[in-house]
Amino acid sequence: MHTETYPQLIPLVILIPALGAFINIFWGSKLTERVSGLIGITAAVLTFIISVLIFSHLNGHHGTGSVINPVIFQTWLRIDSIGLDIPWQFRVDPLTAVMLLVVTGVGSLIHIYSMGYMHGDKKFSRFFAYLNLFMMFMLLLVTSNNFLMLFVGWEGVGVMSYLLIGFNWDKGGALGWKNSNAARKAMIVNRVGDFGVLMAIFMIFWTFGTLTFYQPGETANVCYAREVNNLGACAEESHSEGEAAAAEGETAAAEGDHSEGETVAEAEGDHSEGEAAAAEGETVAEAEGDHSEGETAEGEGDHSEGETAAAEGDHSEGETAEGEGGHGGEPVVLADVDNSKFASYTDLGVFGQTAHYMSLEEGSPERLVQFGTLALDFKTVLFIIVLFLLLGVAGKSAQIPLFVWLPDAMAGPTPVSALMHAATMVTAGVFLLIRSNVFLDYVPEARLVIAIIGSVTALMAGFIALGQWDIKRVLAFSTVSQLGFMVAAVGLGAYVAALFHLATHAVFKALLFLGSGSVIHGVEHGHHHVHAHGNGPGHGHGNGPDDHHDAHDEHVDEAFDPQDMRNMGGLASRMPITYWTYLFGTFALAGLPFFAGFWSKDEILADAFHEALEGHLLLDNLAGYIVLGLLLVAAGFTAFYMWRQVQMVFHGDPRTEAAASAPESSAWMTIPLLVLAFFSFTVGFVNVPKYTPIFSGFMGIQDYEFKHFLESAIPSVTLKESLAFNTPLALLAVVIAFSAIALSHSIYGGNKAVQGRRDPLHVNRSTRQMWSLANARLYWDEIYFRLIENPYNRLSKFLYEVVDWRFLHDYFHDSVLKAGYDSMGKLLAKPFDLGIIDGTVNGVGALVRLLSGRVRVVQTGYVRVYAVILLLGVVAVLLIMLLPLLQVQAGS
Amino acid sequence: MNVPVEAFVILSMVLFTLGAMGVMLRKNAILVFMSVELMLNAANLALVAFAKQWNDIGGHTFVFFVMTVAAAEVAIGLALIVAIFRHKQSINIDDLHQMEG
Amino acid sequence: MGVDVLLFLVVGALAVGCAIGMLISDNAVHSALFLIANFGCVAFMYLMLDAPFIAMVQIAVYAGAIMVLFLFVIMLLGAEQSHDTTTVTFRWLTGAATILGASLLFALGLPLVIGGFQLPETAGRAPLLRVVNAGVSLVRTQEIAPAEPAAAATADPAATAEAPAAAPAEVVRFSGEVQVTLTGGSLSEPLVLNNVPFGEATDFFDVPAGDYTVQLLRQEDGQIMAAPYPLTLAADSVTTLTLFGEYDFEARKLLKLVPVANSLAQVGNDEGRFILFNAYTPQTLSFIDLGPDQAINTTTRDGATVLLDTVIAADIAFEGAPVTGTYREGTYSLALINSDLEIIHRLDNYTITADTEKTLLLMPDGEQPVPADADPDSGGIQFPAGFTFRSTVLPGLVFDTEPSFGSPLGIGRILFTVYLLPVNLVGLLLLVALVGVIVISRPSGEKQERRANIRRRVSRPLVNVIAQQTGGEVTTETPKLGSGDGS
Repeated sequence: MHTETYPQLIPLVILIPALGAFINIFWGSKLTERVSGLIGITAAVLTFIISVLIFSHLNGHHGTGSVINPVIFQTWLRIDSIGLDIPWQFRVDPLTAVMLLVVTGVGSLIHIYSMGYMHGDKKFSRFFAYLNLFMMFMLLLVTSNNFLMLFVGWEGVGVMSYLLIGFNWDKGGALGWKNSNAARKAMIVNRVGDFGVLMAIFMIFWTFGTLTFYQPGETANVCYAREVNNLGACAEESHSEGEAAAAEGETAAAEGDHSEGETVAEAEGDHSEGEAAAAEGETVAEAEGDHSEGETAEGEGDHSEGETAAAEGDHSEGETAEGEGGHGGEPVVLADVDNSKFASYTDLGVFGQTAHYMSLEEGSPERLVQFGTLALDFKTVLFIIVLFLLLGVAGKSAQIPLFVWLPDAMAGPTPVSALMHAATMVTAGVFLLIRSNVFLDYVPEARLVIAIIGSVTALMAGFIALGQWDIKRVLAFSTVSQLGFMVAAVGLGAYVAALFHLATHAVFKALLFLGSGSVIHGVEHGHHHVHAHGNGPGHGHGNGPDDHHDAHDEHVDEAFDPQDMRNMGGLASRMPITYWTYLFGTFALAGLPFFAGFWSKDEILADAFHEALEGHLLLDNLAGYIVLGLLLVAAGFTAFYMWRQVQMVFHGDPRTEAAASAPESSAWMTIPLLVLAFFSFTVGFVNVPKYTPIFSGFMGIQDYEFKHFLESAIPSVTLKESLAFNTPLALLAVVIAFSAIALSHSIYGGNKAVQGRRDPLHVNRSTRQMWSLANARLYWDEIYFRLIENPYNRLSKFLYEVVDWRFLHDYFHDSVLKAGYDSMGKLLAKPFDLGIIDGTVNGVGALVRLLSGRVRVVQTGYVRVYAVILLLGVVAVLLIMLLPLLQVQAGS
Repeated sequence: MNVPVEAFVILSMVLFTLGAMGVMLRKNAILVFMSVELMLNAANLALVAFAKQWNDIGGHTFVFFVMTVAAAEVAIGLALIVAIFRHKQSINIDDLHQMEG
Repeated sequence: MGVDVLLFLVVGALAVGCAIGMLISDNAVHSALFLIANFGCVAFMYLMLDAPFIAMVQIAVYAGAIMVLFLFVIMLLGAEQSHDTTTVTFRWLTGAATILGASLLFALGLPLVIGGFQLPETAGRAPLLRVVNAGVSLVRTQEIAPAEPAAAATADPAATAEAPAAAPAEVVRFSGEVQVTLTGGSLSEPLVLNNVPFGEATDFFDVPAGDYTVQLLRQEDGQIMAAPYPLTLAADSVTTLTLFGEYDFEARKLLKLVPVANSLAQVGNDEGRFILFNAYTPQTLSFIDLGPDQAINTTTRDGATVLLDTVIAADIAFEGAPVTGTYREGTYSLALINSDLEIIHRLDNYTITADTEKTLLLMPDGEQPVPADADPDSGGIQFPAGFTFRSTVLPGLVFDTEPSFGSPLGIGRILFTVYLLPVNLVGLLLLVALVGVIVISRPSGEKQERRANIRRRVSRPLVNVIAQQTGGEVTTETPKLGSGDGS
């Protein structure tokens, strides 16, 4: 199959949603709900199709990334004087492809869902325009080939987030204020993070002179490219710290490098020595543990053989053959893949340059980066850059300390919560970190910080989720928690695991949110139903199905909160599809075996376990321990609060009339739920670890397919060994999950879920303290209020009242300036204006009048008199002209 | 040719002066106009005479322009006279002294 | 007093009389007719001044179009007699106007009086002059020798001419370079032409008009070769000054100068002009077209030999006045023949170009012995056999092909070349005048409306009439028009 041209479609991925948004913005008010919704859905589905095409291309070409220059945008930003030349380029590689599939796939389903959910809303077309615009910016973010384009997308999704959180700002009263305040909060908190991203971008440009990730033709993962093109593995020359990715690509390094590599390995306690040795068939004294060595040897052999022979490798049969067919038979030489065709390392993108700098001797002058008079080592600079990036990630991906906006963001319509604040936008931060994996590889110190922040966030958010009443708020904290998992995985260097969890989480969290939306929708509808009956037909509400949307607007003034789980209960029988799909999502999130969450969460745990026990560096070990410990607890929390939620919402008896009469949602909403439920179960199988019981080789499932697909984009994957399925750890996690569910069931089971609108844990005296803490969200908002908001407000008030009003207005303006102007004005008015200027003007006028009085006599109005005067003048002029002639005559 | 060019110049001077007298003395607007035409003709005659004297055909060209301008002037002038007559029922220029200062 | 002067006086008096008639006539129609007559007289003056085109335009445009317009307006307004309605009478105006008229006349005539009733002449184009050294002299050396201040013995031809001073009857010719000096006129210092070679002409050069004295010196030793020779150059003239030999025994003048006046006046269509000058042979020559056979054709008629070929110019006498001949352009074989019908010189395949003047000089060809007993005073020198001549056709002058002065062609050409922009502006002016006339003489909107009302008022009874005539069956839509009921 010829798929070479598919990446050229990538600009369409931006343009199609833009077009959809354009139509809906400018003509949306004239379009019917159905048409404008279909436009939005069509745009989303088309981008999904393109994403699939691009994915199919990459899948057949070992994920070889490419850079696409759209024809219309050759250069984007260009300032010659400082050498700034940022092209508008798209990066198509496996990382992009995965994000494309997630964004467009989940996005399309949510578009379809919104068709049902937003039915009847008077801002329907605007909603779809926003969704399309959001898709556009998100896709721009994931397809960009430089930090600045990424930042455009980053800010774009921020703006769309702001607009969509505050989508219902026009609701009356407190609710409208609540919505718009939530939007503002998200915007302001994210600005803090964006400051970090901007600083990082500035420093990157200062350091590298470019912002481009990869230049056209540049190979991201040289070792992998060599492997798949039968150019020999580069395990030897690439040891310590995964410098395999180094763009140097020296081929002659085979001999001298070995010993050098050994020394380095010894000095740093490098574990990968064992790997290299195994591949070489040598025995090295430093090899650690028979278990890992044997495993590695076997794994490596099997792996690389399969790749090289391209004949009978376990996973690469079809791919390699297809890939080579696609290449058109042209032999690939080393120079094609090892970046040696670039004249200078400065021609490379930022990641290629990073590898170059880090391959230099520490302390060599080339490694120093000048910041004015300050010269910093490259690694230090990288550390600072990564920390700044982390600040941005904390904002966008809701990590401590900037996570506070995400729970409030649930004020937006539920599809928005599902699409942006669970599945896609909030993962942008994780994506940014994974995109910058080469940076992270070189700064384990920064990774430790990331890991700690991620895992603490995961635990903390999981804890808070225990004490929430609002159905969406529980899910919001769950999202924060899961994002913590991802960030922690990145901190471990387990980028594939992070991305894997990102993808699976996108699916099942979208499912959960959409399910909760369905529940809220149902409860609202049920409430309205009851309400309408209660008020009788005279109230103006009909019984028709079309009326229910009025409920969105009408019930705000009543105390009834359709999102409060205390108002639910027993919905399983009323809403069976929602119930079952929700249950699938819950199991996936809780990590019950063979659901998507199980595979992805387990991989993170396995990576943490691996790092803890076998990390090359002390820092890695430390990170591993922390992450493993915290995440296991967090996983327990996850299962617990999710089961609590299921109990409260679906089980037991209905606690309100609304819940008792809640109907199932329309097909627009349930079909996406079913699709997502299906994928929540199946998506996990794309990355089954090797040696997994039952599933290894079962039904054509290949182990680590996802990982291999991503290999060309993430250099460190090639260098790390692929972990085997860690059965004890998996068992432990499953046991924790099941016991958490069991505990939860014992507390909340049956009708015990809510006791007099109080949580059983709150009723129980021994746990009351703890539950109150969770319910109060650990007082984060209050702390922020005390520490930041209140002092800020006081300062504003001081500046406003004292400095601005009292000093500037009352004193400076009114007293000093006004008095000065007054006195000067008086001075100017009397002697100057009245005297000199008016006198002059009036004097001129009087003079003219005086003179004209004399002259006007001449103007008799009689033409003949004028003729005489005219002729008199003529004669006079003639005579004057002839005077010299007369003189000459007289003289001669 | 035996007639000296100077003679034509003198003739043109006389005609010009007569025209000027007409402009000053006649009260009939049309006659004033005709006197102006006479002056223009005298000027033309002088131009042609000097062209002859200095063998420069530019003089003839200017006669041509003067005639064109005279034609335009007559057209406008007569239209004005007709308009004035319509308004005042008179073309005596002494009746037209509204512009006195 | 020629007839033209008489005509001028009559017509001029008529013009002035008509002008006065126009002025004093009470009836405007009469005035207009006087003015027309005056314009006719002026047109006649234009004709006398070589301006036929302007004269015709004067008749057609002024006397015709413009004055008809005047008459039309006079008739239209019924303003033949201007009636005085004003109370104001400017009695002083008549006197003032008379005085002013007199002083105007005085002022206008003053320059003419100062100039003595003489207009300054045009400067004209500077005269063009060229010098041809036809350079043959008959020198009796023993007589010229004492006059030489520095008779250095040299090896050049001049020296050899002086060396045999003892041989009284020997005659040699000088054919070396000469120096020509012009003095006088308005030149501040003499104009010197050095090294004028034998048999060739200098280029034309500008000289201010005036009277000059030409001095000739032998280039090599500065010996004066001729007495100062007067030369008058007028504006617009083109002159070829030919230097050639003639010996005046008494005045001991060696060289003779003949100014050949070139003419730039146009000849007939497609014709070129020759100016022929016989600078050497003491015979009378003719310039003929040999025809296609390129030989002299003769026939004998009444015992005399008659030339059959076309004669371009005849009677080209030795040292006589230059002879002018014109001939149609083309390529011919031309010849100079003497009275015995012998070809002295021939020009084969010679091309004559239209509107071009060529000067053809006949002069001896190089140094040749001259009979010692030649006596110029005898009226003819007998040249020995083998004595050759040559004719030099000097570079030609292209005629001024300007159309004749004052013709429609001439005026049209200058109008549409040099004065194109003014012509366009004047055209625009006429257009503006047209629009202006329409605007000025358009009835005002109020009046139009009134006229429309009148028409409507007229139409109302018409409807009534129709209604009555047709038995009241006519019904109109609008009750305003009334009478719909057909009473």
